[in-house]
Amino acid sequence: MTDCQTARENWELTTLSRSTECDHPSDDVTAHLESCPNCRIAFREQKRFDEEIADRLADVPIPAGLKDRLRERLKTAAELPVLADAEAPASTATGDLVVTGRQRRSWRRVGTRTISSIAALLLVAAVAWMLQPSRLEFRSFMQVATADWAEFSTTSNGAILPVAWTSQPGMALGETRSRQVSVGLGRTVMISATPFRWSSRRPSVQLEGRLVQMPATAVRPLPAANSFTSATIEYQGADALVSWVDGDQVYICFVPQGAASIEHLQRAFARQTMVT
Amino acid sequence: MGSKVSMDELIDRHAESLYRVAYRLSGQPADAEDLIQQTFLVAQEKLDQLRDVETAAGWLVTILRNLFLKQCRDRVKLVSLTDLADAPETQPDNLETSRDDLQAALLALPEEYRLVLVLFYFRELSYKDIAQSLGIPLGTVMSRLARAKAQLKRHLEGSGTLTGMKSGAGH
Ligand SMILES: [Zn+2]
Repeated sequence: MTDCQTARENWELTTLSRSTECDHPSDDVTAHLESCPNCRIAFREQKRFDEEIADRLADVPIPAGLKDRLRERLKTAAELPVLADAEAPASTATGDLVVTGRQRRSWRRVGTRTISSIAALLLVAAVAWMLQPSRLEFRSFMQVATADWAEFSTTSNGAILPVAWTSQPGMALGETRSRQVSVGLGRTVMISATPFRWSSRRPSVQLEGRLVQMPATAVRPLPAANSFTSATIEYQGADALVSWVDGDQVYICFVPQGAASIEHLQRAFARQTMVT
Repeated sequence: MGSKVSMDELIDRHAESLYRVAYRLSGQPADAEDLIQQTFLVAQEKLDQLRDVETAAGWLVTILRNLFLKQCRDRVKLVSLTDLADAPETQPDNLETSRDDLQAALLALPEEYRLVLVLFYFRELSYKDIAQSLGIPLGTVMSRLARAKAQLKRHLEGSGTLTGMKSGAGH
């Protein structure tokens, strides 16, 4: 004989009707419900509660154009690996073209060679297409770099941070986020941002900001400086911004409200470089 | 090797229901869209792992769940570093949430409970599929569900937004 406790545990899953499976309480539970008025009331209330919550939860407006945006995003992503890193392109053609009748055998032989030369041509064309300039204006990079943090997604693209930053005393780095930005011709480039907090005791300074980076090949014009320490600080009201190129990356260090103190960070970096 | 599924088909069939789930999990339209975008991106990469169209919903939910939990972990780590930078930005979002008490109640639940609850109420997956896509036994689904419902009920009764029902009869 099922007791009230067991009955209640077992009906937990059966109060909502589902297309995918039987939603009736088990025989044990049904028998218990028939013999126990308290549980019967509780079951009915649970059912009503579940139905109300289910209705209210399902009431979510779907943003217009959602599916189109998803498709667009998937299309860009499918093209992206070729641009982002030299990942092997998807295999293009094999010799297995569908041809009929007598031609089949010879097509197989000639076909393989012809198709690989076509594939090679396509590859050259793709590389040429990739190499043609389609870059982000530096101004736009700056806008992204200083945009609201919420505009960066939570997924990191595995950006590698400069050693000077990861080893700087007093520096705490947060999780890198990234954002895809269109650079025309249906191409996008990934911009990564890593929040940081830096504190020093002498002088007593506390700074919070973010280090933003993107591939140097995808932006123009490039900043003149080739290190954080040698770059000129730009002030935008109370905010401060430093930009430089290092290796194949362009960096922007953005410190909101940092106008008064960012040069301390530059000096600390300069001292650290001298030590190492 | 069952029927071949295309991403187009997956988007057509599942984008909206996934969006609803994502919205209920994250509480923000932008986060929800971001979450399902990531979900479909991963799905696109791993499409060859999907053997059967019929299991697509559960498969997508598994991806979404992993991304969602990862996001929650990342967010916890980031909170202290970012509160300075986005203090003004969070304002409108919070307003939107508070308009929807049910959403607020959901967000008050631990993520794992929220997941079970949302999947349960969306009725798209069988209980077995829920267990499978969350990677937990059916018994755990049931116990989490019971606890999550109890918390939800308490929260909603506290805010006085439950319509047409009293609290469950004591026994
Ligand atoms: Zn009973």
